[in-house]
Amino acid sequence: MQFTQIEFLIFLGLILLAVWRCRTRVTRNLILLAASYYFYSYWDYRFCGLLLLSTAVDYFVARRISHAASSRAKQAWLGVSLGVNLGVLGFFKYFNFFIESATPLIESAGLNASTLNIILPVGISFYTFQTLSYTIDVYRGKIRPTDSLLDFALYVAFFPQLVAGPIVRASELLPQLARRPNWSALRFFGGFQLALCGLIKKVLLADRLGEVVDVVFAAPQLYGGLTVWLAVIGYAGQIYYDFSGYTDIAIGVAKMLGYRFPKNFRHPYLATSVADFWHRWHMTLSRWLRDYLYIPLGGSRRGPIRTNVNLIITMVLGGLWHGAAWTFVLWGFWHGAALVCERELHRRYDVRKAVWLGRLSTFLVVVFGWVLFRSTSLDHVASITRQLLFQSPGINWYPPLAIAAIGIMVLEHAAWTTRLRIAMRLRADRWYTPIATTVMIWCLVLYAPRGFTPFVYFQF
Amino acid sequence: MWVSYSITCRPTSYSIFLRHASKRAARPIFWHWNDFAASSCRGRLMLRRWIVGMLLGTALVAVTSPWFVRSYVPRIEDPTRGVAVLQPGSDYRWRSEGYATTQIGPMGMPGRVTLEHEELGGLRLALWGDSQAEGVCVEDREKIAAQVARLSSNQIHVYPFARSGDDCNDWIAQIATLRDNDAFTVDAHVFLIVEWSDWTAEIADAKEELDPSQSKISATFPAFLIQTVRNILTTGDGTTRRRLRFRPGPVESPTVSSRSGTSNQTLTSLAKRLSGQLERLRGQCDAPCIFVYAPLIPAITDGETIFNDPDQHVFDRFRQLCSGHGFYVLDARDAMVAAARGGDWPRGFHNGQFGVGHYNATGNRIIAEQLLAFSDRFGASGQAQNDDPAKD
Repeated sequence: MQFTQIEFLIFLGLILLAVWRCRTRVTRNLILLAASYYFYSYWDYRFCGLLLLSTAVDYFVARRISHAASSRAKQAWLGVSLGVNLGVLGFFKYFNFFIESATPLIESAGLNASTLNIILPVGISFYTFQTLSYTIDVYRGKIRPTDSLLDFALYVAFFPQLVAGPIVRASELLPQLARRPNWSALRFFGGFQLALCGLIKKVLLADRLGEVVDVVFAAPQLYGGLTVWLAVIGYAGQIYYDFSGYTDIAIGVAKMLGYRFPKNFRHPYLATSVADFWHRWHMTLSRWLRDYLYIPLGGSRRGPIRTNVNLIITMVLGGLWHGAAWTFVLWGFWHGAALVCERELHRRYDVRKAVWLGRLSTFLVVVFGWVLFRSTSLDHVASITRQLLFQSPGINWYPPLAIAAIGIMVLEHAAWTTRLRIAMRLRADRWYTPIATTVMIWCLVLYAPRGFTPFVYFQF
Repeated sequence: MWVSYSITCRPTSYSIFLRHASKRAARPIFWHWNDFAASSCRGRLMLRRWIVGMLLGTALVAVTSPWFVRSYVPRIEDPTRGVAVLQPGSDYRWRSEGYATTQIGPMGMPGRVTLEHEELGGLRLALWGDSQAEGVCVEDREKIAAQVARLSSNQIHVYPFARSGDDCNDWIAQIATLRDNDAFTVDAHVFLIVEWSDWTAEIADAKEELDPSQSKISATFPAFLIQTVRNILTTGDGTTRRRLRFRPGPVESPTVSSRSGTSNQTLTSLAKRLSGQLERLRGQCDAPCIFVYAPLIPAITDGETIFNDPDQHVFDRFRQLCSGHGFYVLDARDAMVAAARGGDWPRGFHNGQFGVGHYNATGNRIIAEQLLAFSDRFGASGQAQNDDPAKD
């Protein structure tokens, strides 16, 4: 079920009604758990088993780690969790990728290489990272394992964040699930407002941009250089509005239910450096990679060369997390290399004052990264890059709605640097909030594209 | 769950904390006692603000919607044509592909506001087709009728009778009605062929019932309201009723068949249907008939540019059949392809997609030029100078 479907609105309405009428926390959590499993099975009921497996394994492993007498036993139990979670993720997400990549090697050894018809379960990357973070945090002694299987199962499967994040840590959500949520009309309205903004971002901006991006990326050689530039910047807008829209809806829905999720985006295109970009883009993934990959690798504690290697390893694996393709690996490497270059640059020169130069250069680095991210092959990357750099003639297509959506993205980011950001929060007590809310609702039902477009991050 | 209240005394006022007796201490929820006194007043103020805000927001959308939302024009029964047409004298906005407002003329003609057939001399052509010939995506001056008039210095008058969704069953029926009524005569009938399905339909009576409730809705409610309801109730092309699904997946997606031309077996059955429809047309129509073949070529499909017509065999067969019936066939494909190769795509708009969709001003101009070139050979007597009518 997608947040943009009418079915979801009805589903959410029923869930809100049901949980409001609940008197006990357990009943409430049971309802939410059942709703979350229904939400997941709406896509494919067969994969609920994986969700159950991940939940059961990490619940019991965490308890075993907590009760283990020796550190070796703890490590062994952690190994079980890592093995099961990464094994499932690896099989469903990366099996075919590795087989295809290794085909020349396998065939040269006289063996037959064949891939399997594997369906990628929606949200597997997200809930695997969540459950892993729980077990690792228990192993590190940062949190105590929960006694309640119900709470833990709900933490893993909680529907607002189940399929595309934000990646919520156990320490953030489990305590909230263990008590009756702090609900108020103001919080509910805040959540509704956020979800509405998320829908606008997704349906009116991301999907409109997607209509142009998909066409141009399908055949970049047909279009003029300016149109390809428009599509590439459009993709930067599409993926931002698509994913941040999804996150806003997730956070908003959770807020309406009385729970608080961490922020996932902070106007990423205002970043003055690539490092800053990763503090603003998919923040919950960035901190996951930092805490569970970069720091365990040694972080920046083992000298400059090792730090640079760690950065690149982290970003390449981060790229691979997004998808099983060499373009994602290349995208991760691109960002890793940019972080390394930036680090070296910052060590030699003081560039902190050149804010706008930093923003522009970061944006260009990120936009080229999106070309790698969106392309289907290295030839595709080359084809788009050629059009971007050499401005070959072709169809000059300037879709007004896409240009308007890019304009809105620029204005939104620019306004955030001024005092206008206070107005953009649409506080309930402001005179313009009812007008803006009404206009947004009308725009949603009136100007939404008629076709149905899934969220970009659902494929990860 | 129980709630314990603790009341603390302050120098000037009371404050009340509600503490939830759950396992972990909840953050106290605080109300000032003055809030109780002011709450009903504030509630009324808030309610008033929201009512006014919602009205203002709706008004804002209503005022700006004509820039972005198509219009809904009521349909009336036209006695001359015997079908339901858009109400003459109205303006018909189209926004989703192209950006134009069409004036609806007498007999529901899109873009032509007068008949002028008595006063003016020259050649009079009735144009039949579907939405491609109707041309609501382009301004009136760029429609086929206006472009023909301009290119011919007002020596050729095209009467656009095309309606969106029509096929040959509708056109043949209307031609027969026009002839029977004897209220309106033309020198020739022009048919714009874009999709063969319009001419390979089973022979049937054009059953059309004017839905008075729809016309009443169009006449009564603002377009943005109608569009909103339509968006909620329908999906895809706007005519398929939305069906909600609540059962768990997986759901098998319908298989998409790619269009790859016509097989021999299909060609035979298509030719049979074509032949039947052309025979029927010949029987109903005394005036010369001209077919302008302008299929959806060139096209951009799945990132590929398609210049070759996959239905060439159908066209060849159609030509043979037309030759037998004395119909004229014009082929606009080469001109369309040449325009596209020159960077001027005949189909598509900036707010749509090039190589897809309806004919734009360029496409209409090419069709108009085809008609003009043919009219040079089409004498005053209404007979072409060509021996073989099916060869343009």
